[in-house]
Amino acid sequence: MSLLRGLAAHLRHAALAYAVLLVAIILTLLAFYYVRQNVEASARVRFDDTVLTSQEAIVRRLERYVNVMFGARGLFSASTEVTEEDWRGFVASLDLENRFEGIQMLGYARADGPDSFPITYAAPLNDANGGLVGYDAYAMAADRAAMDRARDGGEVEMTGKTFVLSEAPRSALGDLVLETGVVAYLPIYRRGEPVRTVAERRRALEGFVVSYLPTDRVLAGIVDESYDPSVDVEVYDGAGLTPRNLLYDSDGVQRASEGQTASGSSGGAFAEVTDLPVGGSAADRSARDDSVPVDVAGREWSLYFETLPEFDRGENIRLPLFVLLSGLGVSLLLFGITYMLVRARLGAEEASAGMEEANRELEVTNRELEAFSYSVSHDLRAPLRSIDGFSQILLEDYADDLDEEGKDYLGRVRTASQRMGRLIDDLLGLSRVTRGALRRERVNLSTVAREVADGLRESRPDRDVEFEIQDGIEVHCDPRLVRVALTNLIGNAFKFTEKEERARIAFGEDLELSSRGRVPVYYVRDNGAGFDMEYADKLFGAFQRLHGSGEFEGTGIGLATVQRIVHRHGGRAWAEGEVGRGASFFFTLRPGLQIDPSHLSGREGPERGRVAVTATGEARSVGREGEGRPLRVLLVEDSPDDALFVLRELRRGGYRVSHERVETAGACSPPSRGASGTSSSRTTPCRASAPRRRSSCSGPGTGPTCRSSSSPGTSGRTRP
Amino acid sequence: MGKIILLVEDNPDDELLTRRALKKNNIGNEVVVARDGAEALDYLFGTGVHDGRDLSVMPQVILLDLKLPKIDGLEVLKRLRGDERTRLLPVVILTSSKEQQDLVDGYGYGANSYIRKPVDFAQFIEAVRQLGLYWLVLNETPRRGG
Repeated sequence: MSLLRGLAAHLRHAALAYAVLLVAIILTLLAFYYVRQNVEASARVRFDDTVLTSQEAIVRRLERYVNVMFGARGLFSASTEVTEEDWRGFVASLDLENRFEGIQMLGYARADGPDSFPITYAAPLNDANGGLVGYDAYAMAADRAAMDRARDGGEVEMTGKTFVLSEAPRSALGDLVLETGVVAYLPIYRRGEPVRTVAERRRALEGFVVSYLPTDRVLAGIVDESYDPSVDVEVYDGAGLTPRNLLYDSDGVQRASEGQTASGSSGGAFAEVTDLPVGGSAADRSARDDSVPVDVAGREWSLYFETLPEFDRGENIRLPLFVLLSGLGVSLLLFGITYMLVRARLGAEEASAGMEEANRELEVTNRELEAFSYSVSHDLRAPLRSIDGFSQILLEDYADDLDEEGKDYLGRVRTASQRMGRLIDDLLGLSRVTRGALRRERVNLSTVAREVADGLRESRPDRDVEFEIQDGIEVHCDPRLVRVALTNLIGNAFKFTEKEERARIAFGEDLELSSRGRVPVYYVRDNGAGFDMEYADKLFGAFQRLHGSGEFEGTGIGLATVQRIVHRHGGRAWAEGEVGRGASFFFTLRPGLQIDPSHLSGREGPERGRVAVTATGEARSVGREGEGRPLRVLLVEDSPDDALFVLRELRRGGYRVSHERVETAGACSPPSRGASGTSSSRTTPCRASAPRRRSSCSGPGTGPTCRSSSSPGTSGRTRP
Repeated sequence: MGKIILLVEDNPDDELLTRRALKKNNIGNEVVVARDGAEALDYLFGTGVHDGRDLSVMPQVILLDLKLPKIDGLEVLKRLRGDERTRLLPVVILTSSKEQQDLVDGYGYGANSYIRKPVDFAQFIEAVRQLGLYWLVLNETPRRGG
């Protein structure tokens, strides 16, 4: 069922292709038919010509040969006595060899009584004819019939097929051979006697002129002169086309089928002739041959003609087939092309339908996203306000009821809620960057950068930052988005140079990179905290931070936003930096060649630097008291709040914190194993940058003697 | 009769915080609270729960949240501006939203000011202080009918 349906669908889709195929095939068949008709007609004309020519030639030749006999009879009429010498002279004068090639013997048979006609003279004189003198042919039935007819009719009469003794060709071994042939008789009547009636003729009969005609030689003459060699000619005695009657065959292969008669041959066989090259059958025959029985000297002969394969070589017999095959090929080609076109169009339609569907879905998604952003903007912030607000109220109104630790906790609640507020804002900003169409126009980046710098300077008048902004950088881009990107990048630089005494921030176009990338490359460079190139790929991910939240504030969304803006412009963003030596951020706003930063900098790239996470909360908490083997725990946590929370829980669980250090520093090596009781030794110097908590506690067994450098009373406390 | 402040706010926390911010800034004006847009309109037009209210007493300023149950803030604003009695009332939009579209719509419908509620309570107090100073002390509103 599904197969049928599939087939129906296929036919519906490919209907055009099949229509094309059908029309092409019909045209091909018409062309084939037309060409075949033409070829056939032209072949028929040629064949008919050949038949007619050959037929006429044969009849003419035989008449000429027969007329020679009338000449001989004239000799008897002209003279009272014809001697053997006369006869020979006469025959010699005929020049048989050249003018009547094929006549084996011209003789005179004198009546020796009514039933005996022995040959009296036989010329030309040769071995074959020499023995004929005295031979009475009247004794032979076939000869007698012919002689009787000749005697009664007064005309030349021929026997049916018989054999004629003749000289062998020079190449043959024997002297004499019997050749297929006929014998012709012409009656000679006595001079002065009436010959008007049969009785008178019988009475006046004096003898016969006898002519031996080996048909092969007689007819070979004509065939060679007048005849198309690609048509086989067979001559039969009488109407029956049998080997017995065969008098002459031009190619030596009998082709007429037995039983076929001149009158009863089938018409239309010619059509088969054109099929000859295809079927390759030699049995095909022409119809016209049988329709040309000829009367030769009282005998009816049948001429059978048949085309040989060579005949068709002369015709463009292969043309119809060629037309048919090439037409079919072209038809299939057309069908294929049409089918492919149809398929391509269907595919395109489907694809466009799919695209429309996808677009609609995208629109719905976009609308949902808008609604989501809106809701986030409104609703997510409200609880934060409550948390922050009421924490503040607690701090203000209930300050007396809270000890320092409680106040510290409330302070942390407020910091966290405010931070979440910023996170929400930044996330919304990030999502806003993705929405809406990109509108490119001419923007002066130098001006934008200067405005951003001015804003930053105003926000922190206490800071001394030197801005170097290259003039006249103009680019085709979305002004709103690019302003957001520059605000983020320059703001970042501003933030991470906070601890520098002489902060420098530069913005401009890097001409060397521009020429390598075939696209303008802009940079924002600072001499601030920098970063480890090992983590360069993480810089641009949302929420990825290379600095502890205690060290530099920020949500980790700024660079993700920058990257998204740059990508929307078809550009790229990347960064180079070194810890403590500042950072360079590069971006393009159009597609360009890939630039591998490590190659350009000529430095080793990712291998440099060691410091991974610069803010490491590290707490050593060792074992429950009273247990033999102390359990060592290394806590690495960048959020001071979380570190504090974990330590607190550990203490609650009965663990004694022997060593606690919350550092905002890089990869510090852990204290060596046997270093209990002393402060840990560091193998890699960590940057001591604004530590929030820093306390060192003595190892297990040495009692709770923790010192804390900040927030006294909140750290180092142990619970029994 | 002091100058009344109409606070249209559905979040009780925000209401409390706003009251506290007003108090902190020594703004002792009477605060009428409407929990949703419909109630705010009832109050202003003397309908529904506020049926029979003396309509000659109108708030000095309306603090209007945008995201409200029943009728949202922008719709309330639109109706206020469409009514002769409330056409000129100062409306300050006080909302969490930072969406550009809200800002444009708010001013487009005739809001007099747009203040975004910051998460930081200290900043919020400062915003309310300035708001009170401007709308309750400095600003002169046209007399109705005049």
